[in-house]
Amino acid sequence: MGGRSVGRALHALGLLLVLGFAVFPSYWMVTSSLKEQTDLLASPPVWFFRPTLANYLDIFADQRVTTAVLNSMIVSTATTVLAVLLGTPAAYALARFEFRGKKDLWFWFISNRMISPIRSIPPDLEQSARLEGANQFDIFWRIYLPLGAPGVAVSAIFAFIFSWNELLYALVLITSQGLKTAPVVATNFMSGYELPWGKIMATGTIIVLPVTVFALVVSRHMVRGLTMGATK
Amino acid sequence: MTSSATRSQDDRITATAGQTTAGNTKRRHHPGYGRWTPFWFLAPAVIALLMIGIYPTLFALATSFRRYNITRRADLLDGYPFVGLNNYIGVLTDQTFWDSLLLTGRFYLMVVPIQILLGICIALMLHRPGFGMLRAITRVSLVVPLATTYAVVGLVGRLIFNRDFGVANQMLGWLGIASSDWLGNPTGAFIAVAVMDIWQWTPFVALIFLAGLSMVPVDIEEAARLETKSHWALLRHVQLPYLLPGLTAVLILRSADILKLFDMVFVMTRGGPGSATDLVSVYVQRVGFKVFDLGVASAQAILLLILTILLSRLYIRVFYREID
Repeated sequence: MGGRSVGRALHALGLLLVLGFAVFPSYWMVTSSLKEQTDLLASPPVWFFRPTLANYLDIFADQRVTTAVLNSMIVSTATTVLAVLLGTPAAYALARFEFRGKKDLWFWFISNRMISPIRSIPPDLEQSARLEGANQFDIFWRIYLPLGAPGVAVSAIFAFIFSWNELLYALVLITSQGLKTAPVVATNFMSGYELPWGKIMATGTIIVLPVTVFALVVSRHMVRGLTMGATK
Repeated sequence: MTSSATRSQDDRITATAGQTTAGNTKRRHHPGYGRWTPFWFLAPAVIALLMIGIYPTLFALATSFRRYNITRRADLLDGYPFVGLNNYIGVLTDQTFWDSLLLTGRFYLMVVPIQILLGICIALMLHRPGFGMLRAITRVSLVVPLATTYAVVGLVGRLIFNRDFGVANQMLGWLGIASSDWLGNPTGAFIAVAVMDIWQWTPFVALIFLAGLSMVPVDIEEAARLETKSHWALLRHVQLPYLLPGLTAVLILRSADILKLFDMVFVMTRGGPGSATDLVSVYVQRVGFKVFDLGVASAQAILLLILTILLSRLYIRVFYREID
């Protein structure tokens, strides 16, 4: 009996540790973005302080940051729409049809993640629709797309997150200041002698917040989507 | 297993469906759709991938056989002359390239086992009954590191591991460990970058293993729990087989990710101090866009591509056996 309650206590402690581990860096980023420079540079760092929104007011007044966030929005939305438009039919084909070279194509596609939800739709539906005279595109458009919507949503969110978080291509390919995306601008803060940590962390928070909220809302699906893409 | 079942079902139904869709019935065993149907559904995606995937690769391949430094005027005037395998020989005899590749391998060997070990522990804790609310919150919290922009992970890492006002030193101080200038010394920087990677990717590994654990049929797990009190025996004999496909996936995805790992390291250390965190992708980016030697950088990229393909071929061979 005693062993069991020790086990339960360890279980709870372990879970709390994992929770702390998972959210701490983000917590630290957000609280740092609410600190004044003196609090930021305090050594050792302070955990309790008078929060201020000054850093956010600064970055929203800075056109580089607002433009960059807008650019990121445009790029990510366009990428997502394109990925769904191209990926859904391909996922349908991979899930439902048999053809030569299928295995080779399989690993090319991130739309992998959609295939399993599409698979779970009973093929009888397709057959009865065909009996009613529906063509292949109708079947895809009227049956698979609505029923596969959760899978499509998960994939769309993945596409958005990947695109939003992308730095390397943006860093190398975009030279015009007005077209830079949010991660690039955040990186550009990291030069000079005295780093404006408050502004850097506020920008980081602004960048991370939308995707995190997005991901949290669909986290149940996200777990499914992630692992399906990985283990299938 | 499942696919062959649905297939035979398809075939059975096709026998009746085929009569209404004329033209599809010419070939025997034809499963109810036109021969070119898969093609039309796949074509847009394949064409897009060819344009954005194959074209740059071919361009890189062509560039890798030329002397192509965009800052050297002579190269431009000579029309970027063909130099055969010179760039490749240069890369393969470049000690820095091998060092960065070796460093990337060391990074993989340091980070991935920790992620797998922690990932299994976390998955087991999340799978174990009890504390429903806390478990749900913890599971959802794992999504936070995954969604965090890689470049921002680097920014936060620089703040946390700062010598003077970083919280890492403060926490180590609580444990009685002396503070150090993490990003200022080679070992410290390597560890700091590894810690941030472990933070970001352990949740991914944990979620994959959690999915594996939930695949164990409930009655089998219940029966095993009645048989033995040992968690270890349960893990070893009942749960482990269900974790193996996930393990393979983790090994594949993490090796590809680490070969491409750039954003976080670039922001956090720029490969330094010295070459302490000069992972191969950071080095290739520097050759290409700081030295502007596109010929050499392309040769490096092609070699890395070959390495990635070889690795994934190897994994896929193992992987497909797991699924079938």
